[in-house]
Amino acid sequence: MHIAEGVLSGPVMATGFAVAAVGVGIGLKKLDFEHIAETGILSATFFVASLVHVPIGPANVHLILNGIIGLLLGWTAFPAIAVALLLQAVFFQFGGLTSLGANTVIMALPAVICYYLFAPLIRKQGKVSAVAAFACGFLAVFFGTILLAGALYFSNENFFEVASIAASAHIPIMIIEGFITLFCVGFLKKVKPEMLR
Amino acid sequence: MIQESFSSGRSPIHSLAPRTRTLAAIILSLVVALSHNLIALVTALLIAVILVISARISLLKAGRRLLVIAGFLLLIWLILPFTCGGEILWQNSFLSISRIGVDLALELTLKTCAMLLIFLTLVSTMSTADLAHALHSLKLPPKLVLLLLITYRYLFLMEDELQSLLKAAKIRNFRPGTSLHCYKTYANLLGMLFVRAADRAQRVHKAMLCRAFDGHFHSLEEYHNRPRDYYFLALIVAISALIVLAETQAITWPHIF
Repeated sequence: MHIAEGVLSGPVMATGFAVAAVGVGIGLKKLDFEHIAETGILSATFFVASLVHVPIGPANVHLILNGIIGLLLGWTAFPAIAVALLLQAVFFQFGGLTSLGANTVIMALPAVICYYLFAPLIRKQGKVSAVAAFACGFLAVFFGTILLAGALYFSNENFFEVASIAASAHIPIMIIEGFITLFCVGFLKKVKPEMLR
Repeated sequence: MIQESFSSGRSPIHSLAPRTRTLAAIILSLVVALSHNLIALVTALLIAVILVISARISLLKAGRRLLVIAGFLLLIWLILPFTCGGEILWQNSFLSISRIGVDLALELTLKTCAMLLIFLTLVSTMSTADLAHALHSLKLPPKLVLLLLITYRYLFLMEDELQSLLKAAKIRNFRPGTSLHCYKTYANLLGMLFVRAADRAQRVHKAMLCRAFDGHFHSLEEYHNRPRDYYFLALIVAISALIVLAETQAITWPHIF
């Protein structure tokens, strides 16, 4: 869900950078040197995991995983995602300099929101935890899609149809991310529960 | 595979200091991003192509990178001309093509292509270590730069881990398909990737402490601005001014139809 360069209008770009700067600022403040290696390596994992293509019917989609990143990192998801996105722009030309702020907000803000909504529920047992994990993965992409569509629409009202097509293309991804997050959280709870803070 | 395809090379662009290139990319991208005038954007695209040539990147390779945005541009051209309304260029009983839509699609195409090429030639032509160095000297928070360096350092290792996990799944006859079993397998695989990442992080952190890490990476290569860096920046500023001029004076572009 990268927005290409040159699509956003000045005000949307500025808002994106402002919100991203606040988020990254808070994230960096919470990030002590104790955890900087961990965050960097998880950021690399986030980058790499987005190279995984999961089949859905005849097509396949790549994972976003911002829900899990939020659960693992909390506010630190902001700098981690910003860095991963910068590297994706450098290596693959996904996104770029001017859309970096907006792209960071689109993926990191839902990660933080889902962290606050679901991290306490996921620590519980049984069905509550499973439902919360699915909702976390689903909603992280859902909120991201809303932000993406909003960024497009507020850049130019003529983008309405483009934004709604882009948004509906993300619906299957939401469902897949829900299941992936559900199973992945189950796995982490069994293998290394201390990772889910 | 993750590769820095353009970072090593010998060209006038590669010989500039990383900081100069980063600064030039920021200035030029911002100016182009805020332009709407077609003359300004055609100028920007021409400049971008000249930059690609002077970085000695083959036009074929650069063109292949443009494919990244081809899907998006196709979507734009399939939708915008038919949905924008306003003055009508051409219509029949069930379709009408609007001038605003065509102009907007053309504007976006020129702009995204120009900006992608600018980023490719000015930023992707340096190693990430150099980029981090440049961002540091442009006063980005040191912690963020450090995070960038660590992320970059572990990118390739984590990709290796992922590939070996995928290979292990394949050896056990895993075939991807649209099923819960498939999603569960991928989820466990990613979970394993996260666990290995965390374990590695702990070892790395201890190793860094053993080597007296105090939060600073010291760069071995020093870059000093040479005259050519100032000339190049001046040139980029002049070009940007030209684009701004074309934008504000709104020199009218002959409509294509």
